[in-house]
This record gives sequence, structure tokens and C-alpha cells, in this order.
Amino acid sequence: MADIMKIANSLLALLLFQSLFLIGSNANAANTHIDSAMKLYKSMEINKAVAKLIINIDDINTLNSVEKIKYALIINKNLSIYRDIYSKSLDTQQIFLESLINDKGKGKSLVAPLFLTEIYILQKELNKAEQQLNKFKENLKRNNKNAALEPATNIYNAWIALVKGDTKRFKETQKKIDLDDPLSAMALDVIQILTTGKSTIELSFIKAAEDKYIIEDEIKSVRFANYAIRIYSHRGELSKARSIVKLLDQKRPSYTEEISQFKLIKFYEPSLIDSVATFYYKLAKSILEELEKDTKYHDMAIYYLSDLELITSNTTSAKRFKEQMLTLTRLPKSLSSLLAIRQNGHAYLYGKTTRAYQAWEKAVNNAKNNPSIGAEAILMCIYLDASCPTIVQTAQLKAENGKSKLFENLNTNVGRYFLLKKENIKAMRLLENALDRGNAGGILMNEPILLLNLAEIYRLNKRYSESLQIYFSLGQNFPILRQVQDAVQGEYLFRQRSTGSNIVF
Amino acid sequence: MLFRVSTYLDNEVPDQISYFSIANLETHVIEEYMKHFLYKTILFFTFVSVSATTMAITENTLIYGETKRPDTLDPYTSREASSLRLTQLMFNGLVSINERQEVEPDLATSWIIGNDKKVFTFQLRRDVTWHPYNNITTPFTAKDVVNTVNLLQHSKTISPLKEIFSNISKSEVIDDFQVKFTLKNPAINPIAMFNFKILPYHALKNIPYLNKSSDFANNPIGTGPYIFKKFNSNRQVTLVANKKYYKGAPNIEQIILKPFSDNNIMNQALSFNNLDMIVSVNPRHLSELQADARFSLISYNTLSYSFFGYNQNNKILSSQLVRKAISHGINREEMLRAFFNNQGTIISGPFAPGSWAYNLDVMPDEYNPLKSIALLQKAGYTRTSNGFLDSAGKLLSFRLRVPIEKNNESTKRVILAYKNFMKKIGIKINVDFIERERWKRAIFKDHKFDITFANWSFDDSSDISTLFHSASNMAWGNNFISYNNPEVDKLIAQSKISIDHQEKRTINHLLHKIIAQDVPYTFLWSLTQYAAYTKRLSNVNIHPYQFFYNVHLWKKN
Repeated sequence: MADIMKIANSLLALLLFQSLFLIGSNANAANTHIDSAMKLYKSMEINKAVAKLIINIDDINTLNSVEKIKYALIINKNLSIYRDIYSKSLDTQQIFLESLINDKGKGKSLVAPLFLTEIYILQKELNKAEQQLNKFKENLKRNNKNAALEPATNIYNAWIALVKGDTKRFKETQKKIDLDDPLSAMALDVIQILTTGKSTIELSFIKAAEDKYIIEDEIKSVRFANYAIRIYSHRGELSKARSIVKLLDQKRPSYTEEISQFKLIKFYEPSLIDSVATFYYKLAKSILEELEKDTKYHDMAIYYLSDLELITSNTTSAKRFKEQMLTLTRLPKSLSSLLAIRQNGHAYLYGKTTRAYQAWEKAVNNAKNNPSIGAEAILMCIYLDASCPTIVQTAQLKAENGKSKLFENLNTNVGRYFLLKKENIKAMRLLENALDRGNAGGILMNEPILLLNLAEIYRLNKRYSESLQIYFSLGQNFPILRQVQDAVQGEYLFRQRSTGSNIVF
Repeated sequence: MLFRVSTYLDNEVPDQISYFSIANLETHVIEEYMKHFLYKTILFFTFVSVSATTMAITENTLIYGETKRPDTLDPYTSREASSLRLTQLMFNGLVSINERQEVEPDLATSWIIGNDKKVFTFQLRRDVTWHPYNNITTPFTAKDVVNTVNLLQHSKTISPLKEIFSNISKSEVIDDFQVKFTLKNPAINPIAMFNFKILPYHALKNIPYLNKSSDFANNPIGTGPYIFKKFNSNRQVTLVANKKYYKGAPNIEQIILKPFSDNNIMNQALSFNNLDMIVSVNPRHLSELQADARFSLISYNTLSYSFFGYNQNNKILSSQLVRKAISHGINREEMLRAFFNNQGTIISGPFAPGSWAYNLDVMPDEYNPLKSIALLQKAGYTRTSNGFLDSAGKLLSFRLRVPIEKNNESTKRVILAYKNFMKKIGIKINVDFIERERWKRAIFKDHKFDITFANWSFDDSSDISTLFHSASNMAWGNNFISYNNPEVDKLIAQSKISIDHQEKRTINHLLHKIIAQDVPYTFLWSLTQYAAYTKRLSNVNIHPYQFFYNVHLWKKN
């Protein structure tokens, strides 16, 4: 995915050329928005590009095929970034919340265990989740200051039961949930979507709840927005989901605990990033599926549909794409050269791992001449959480020896791989190499995925100020990063050991 | 190059920033040509001077460049980053903080913390000696530690680091290698505060307090990896390896700090292999160095920012409306892009964005000259075709005093742009570029200025207390703008005594909000700092705010 910018550029040139012949001059208002979104996209302001599309284009059916491709391309890219932000958010919030709970300072947070419960469930650490949930319940008994959050205890209890497959416990807990309360009813539906893939809530019920939680175009509850986006997206009600995403201030905390006049703690919806990412996934998918019907763009649509499934490591469609990608012939060269690597991504998801490894190894062996293809092969290892030690070892050598800008993505992806495998020292070296080979015209001119991972590796190496500086810059384009920034600030404060000095220069 | 400074000052300033104007392109080309010629001339002399010194320079010498000359070399009396960096090479604390934010033993081997978290007893190393003084080597003992605290607590000692010692109520020698401290209040990072640098008792026993003019400030004696050897007439400093350094003799035999008055020349010196390292690369040279395979670039210490500070003793500038009007009149994004190649971020308040204390909800004042004009009118000033008039009917004008060391392109560009932006909103700025020492005296001691331009750099504590607390409004205090807001004073005091992390964060976020609203400074940007060094150097690991941490492990091949 990190290589998508280069592919995009050549693809766009081709598409624009084709569009002159295929579409003629049916200029419409949407064109302007697509064009300005593309400009933002090219200057790495991906989320701003997405905001432009979401806010200004109400009906995707008014777009022609080329515009649809561009639209989907931008959304795909944003989705891959949101997926990465989501994993960073879970890790950083977990560390911050654990620090808060273990803090021996006066006036302990009573709410932190509840938010940590959700983080642990999402990280599949159910015993720890259970412990924190019980801790929160104890806190409520001692102090009812945060009683508004009490209904969430039954939800988390039910969620843990569902994940554990404990039907009896789930049913018993379900009875305790007040289904007349919109947030509780929606939360119950969301946890079922996440565990069983089923959603049964009446959509009219959510629509009615909107009157309560959206006042004068302002969303009053982030939790409501989170649930509504997830349910609407899951049910394919994309225009409804879009209307919520449009209004949502992604920087807002879900809850602020006021321990004293001078001690406020903000808590964020851990799963919000994933909900918004789900919306992007469904949106891009719906556009591309529509585009599949256009014979001229059929192959392109399939390619990007397969991209979506790789970003989300979706095994259900692996068989389809494993076979269908072999039939694609009408692709620009920049994409067809990546076809074998991506096709093997689906093969890997389908269980044909040996074949996939061989294809990726071949690509990496050729990385000296074609670093983009090598980068793409490593990207597959990242997306699919595949264990590729030999391939990555070769790629690392090529990446470090490649001094030109062409090797930026290879360095980024090898660095990301090491980060995933917790080889932090190597990860930092490779990611710094990538930045070194990147755009010197300002940090934000660089690939957001590179910056995200660099910020994360700096955090892991306790270089907090550098991590926060990058997050600060990136946060200007991705407001949803606020929850990560807040957590890293908190971690930094707990870890910093300086005592105060300032110098003028 | 000096000629160009006066040209800028004497010229009538155009409405638009000249750097973007095509009409000025020709002049610019001529200036560039002249600059090129001058570089060659200056470089020739630089090389001759370096060659002359090379006779004394061994291969195993690290020569690094700074744009600021070091003033003093003791760890306490200087405010200059270049001086403080040097002191990291020569001195140690009882503990140190590594790049992973962990406290490590340094001159102390261990410590015991009392139950009330106020009493700390340190066991000291027995194998440490001071650098030779009058050819005599003296062992490091507890007396050195206690004397350091006494010196820093003396009312006549002026030091930007004095605040660290304010929480120590008592320091006692238990025996030669044991020292005990009692704090007034428990602290949030109690052991870490003992990373202050220790001074030698035997060299300072006859001095009751520290000042810049003492012999020690120019002939320092420490326990660190490098020994001070000499200053030359250009304030070039030579240090030699301390073979008896307790952590082991440094790999590099000699370190030379070479001050440059011009960033371009310093960069050229690196390119011509006359320097091994530049501690802070000008953003305009990043791409060039990035493309040069002979050098490594490394980013570090981002806890710093630039600002315009407004002297509140000036009656007009004491108005928040006027300060706010000025802030809205400055296009910071454009300056960052044009002068610093976008290598930084615009900030909204008194903390660097890489700090835990930065309030992310506070947005920087947007560039809006119309708003500036409206605010000035609201403040009661009359607008004429020439600009705003003060109550005496004179054009609203301020004196902007800026330190300039012969020639600093980036600073000059920022100042000229500021002057232009102010002209656009009807304010006249008289720029006064003065020599750095004079500037420090004018700003910190005499408070004789209306507006100044400077940068602050912080460690991880992000402590702004001395910058904005009214108690620091004194000669040589950091609150040189005479800012006084009782609410801010109260919050700073509260933050200082708080030992609760989240409480500290909430208070600092609140401080950020209030100070941003008060606009005692126009907070500009935080630049990404880069060091560049030859790949002949290895084991280089730049500490976020202690540049030469573990320098004894660096190697030159």
C-alpha cells in the first residue's frame, strides 16, 4: 500500500488519457471536488481529500467511471492508514491506561478500568478485560460519580461472554441490558456484529436516537456516533453512515473524568477508528462493485477490490481473488507488474503459503532493480501478518544499500515489518532510512504510513518528544490521531525524568 | 556580509515580502553571486586557518561546528546552547538520564530514599578524580557535591538553572563518599533532579557564588570525558580526552568546537571535510546534505520554539488587544515555508508540540490582517493612511531588538518579514540588530526593548515556570518581558508542588490556554533539529536534549 502513491500517479495519467476518449466532456460539479481531492491526495493530505469527498459528493452515482476509480483509490488509501492508526491507538491507549491505573498519585481514576476493559477485549486479552471490568464495578460501588457509565458494564460483560462463546452468560447478561436506552441497544448490536457478524437492531430506532444525540448538526455523544457508523455501515446504509461521519469531530473524547478542579482525564472511544475504517471499506467496496459492471473498468475494479480485501486481511474472498486476479489483462503496466505479488496475497490467505512465499522472495531478490515490487512483497507480509524472515532479510540488505528515493518504500515496509515483529532497533534504523530517502520539503510531504510508524518506533524507544512532534504534524491531517496523541502525552509524562532547565538561543 | 545587514535596515521596506518578488530576482541573483564569491574567499581563509591549526590536530579529532559562540564554560552561568553542550563533555551529575528516560547512576553508585520521600542519601563513587588543576589531580568527594548546592543557592548566583535547587532545604556531608539531601517538598521525579552537574570544591572554595566573570567560567575543571585545553581568540574551544575518565578513556582524542557566524559557510566547511559534524543544520541545507552519501543526518531535541516577545513595561504593548492584533498580523505558515523549507510546525502556546504539556485543543492565531486592524481600532488607536497613531498622534512604532552574530540569514529574513507584516497592519517596526552579549544585557538585565525575537529550548520537564512567573521578572530573570498574571502565577505554583502526573498535565494544559490567550509572546514555530556528521564517525547516538551523552563511546575511523 505504501507504494500506492507512485502507482496512483502513473495510473492517473493513464486514466486521464483514457477518459478523454471514453467519457468525453461530461463535466459535472463533482469533477471539481474529485480534482481538488486528488490534489490533496497527491500532496499526502489523504484524510483532507477524503473529507472533501464525503462532505461534497452526496450521490456517488453522479460520478463517471474515472471519477469513481479516483474516489475509491483515495478511500482505499485512507482505509489503509486508518487500519494502521487503529493498531497504534490500541497499543498506546493500553499503555497509558495501565499507567493511570498503576499510578500511586492522589485521586485515582475510577473510569480508566472501564476503558481499559474495552481495549483488552479488542486485543483479545479476555482475562485482563474481566479483571478491569470488575475493578470498575468496585469503583462504582465506592463512588457513584461516574454512574452514567454503569450501563456499559453489562455491555462489556456480554461482549466478553460472546467472545468466549459462553452463550448462557451472554443471555443472562442480555436480560439486564436496558434496550429502551438507545446507547445500550446499539452497543449490544455492535458487539454482536463484531463477534457473530449479525445485526438485528431496528434502524428506525437509531434514526430516532439521532434526534437525541445530534443537535443542530453537532454530535453530542461520540459513543453514539461510533455505534451508529458501525451499524449503518454493516447494514449497507452508507448514506446514513456518511451523514454521521460528516458531522463527527474525530478529535473529541468520549468521556472526561473530573477527579478534581485540576485533574481532568480524557477518555476516547477505542473502537471508533475501526468503525470509521469499516465505513470506508464498505464505501469503497460499493463503488468498486458498481464499477465492475463497466467492462472498460472491470479489471481495474477487481484489482482495487482485491486491494481492499488485502488491507483488511479478509479470508472470505481469498478464493475468488486468487483465481480472478489471474484473468486480469486490462491493467496499466504499473499495476500489472504487481499483480503476481497481490494475487499471491490472496493465495496466502487461501492457505497456499509456500507458493506465496516463493513469489514474494522472487520479487525481493529483484528489488535492487525494482525496489517498488520488493516493497509490495513486504507489504503482503505486513498486511497478512505473515512470517517472512528470509524474505525480509534479503529486502533489508537491498533497502539499506539503496540510497535513492526509489528505495523509500522498501525501507518503510521493511521497517514496518520489524516493528510488527518487535525488532525495534532494526525498525528504527530502516524507518529513519526511509525518511532520509523521503521528501525533504517538510515532514508532511512524506507518506503518512511512514510517519505513523516512525512516530511509533520513537515512542517505543522512549524518544517521546520526537514521537509527539511527528504525531502533532500528522494530527493536522488526521484528527482521529488525537486519541493516540493524548495517550502518548500521558505515557511521556509518566516516564519523563527531567527536572527543569531552559535555555534561550 | 555585514554590508547586507545594513542594506536591509536602511532600505524602504516593500509591501510584499521581497523574496517572492520577481522584480527582486535580479538583485537576488547578484547577491547570490556576491555571496558565492565571498564564500570562496572566506572558505579559503577558513581552510588556511584550519590547516594552520591542523598541525596540532591529530587524525583522531572531532571538529564540530556551531553558529553561536560559547560564552562561559561552567554548567550554570550560560544561557547558550553551545556552552551547555560543551559542559556535557566536561561535567557529570550524581545521576544521569539516558535516552530511554531511565535514571542511571553517574557520580553516585546508589541511593536511599527516606520514608517521607524528602530525604535522600547518596553513596558516591570512589574512583573519580577531577581534571588536573595546577597539575594536581584531586579526588571527587562529598564536599564537592555540597559546595555545588551551596554555590547555586547563594542569592548572588545568577543561573538559568537555579530553580532546580530551590526545593533543597539542606545538603550535608556524611563522610567523604556519602551525602544527604533534605527536600522542602516531595518531588515528582526526585532522583532525576540530582542530575545537576557537580563542581570542584578545591577550585571554587574561595568563591561564594558563581558569576560569568570568574576564572572558573573560562577555565573549567570537571570529572567528565573531556578536559578543557584552550579557547582561541575566535572562541574556538579545544578539549582533550580524559584518559582517567571513570567510564573509560574516550575513543576520540580531541574535540574542537568551531564557531561560525554564517550557516552557509559552516555547511560548506562540512562539505569540504573541514568539519566532522554540525550540531544544528539549517533547514535550507537539508536536501543538499541528504543527497550527499558522505554524511548522516539525525533529528533530535524537538522541544524548542521561536517567538516574538513583547515587553509589558511598554504601555502600548501591555494591552492584550494590541498583542493579539500583532499576532493575527503575522503569516507564520508563509515564513515557515519560505525561510525554513517547512521543517517545523506552527505552535499555539508556551510549550513545544513534542511536549506532554502541549494543549492540543488550543489553535494558533490565524493570519488575518483585517482582524488585526479591527483589534487595534478596538484598542482605541486611530487608523490613518500611514498607519495607526498612538495617543500622542505619532505613528505606532516599536523597537525590535534582535541578536545578530554578523550574519544569520534565517533570522534576518524572519525579522524583515515581520517588519513587513506589521507595516501592512499599520505598525512601524524599527529593527535593532545588536551583538549577542549586548542583546542579552539589554533583554535579560535592563529590559530595554519593546519586542524581541528569540528561541527557547527545554528538557523533558517542559518547565515554563521561570518564563512566565512574575517572580522571575528581575534582572537576569527569564521573565524578561515582565509578564504578570496572578492566575498564571497561581497555576505555576500549583504545578510545581504537584506530584500527581495527570494533575500536572491538566494544569499545564490550562496554562497553555491562558497564556495563548494573553499573547505575551507571538508563538511561532518549533523547528525540527538535525545534526549532520561524517560517516567516518560511528557509535553516534544523539540524546534528545543532552547532545553529547555517551560521547566517550563515539569513534572516528
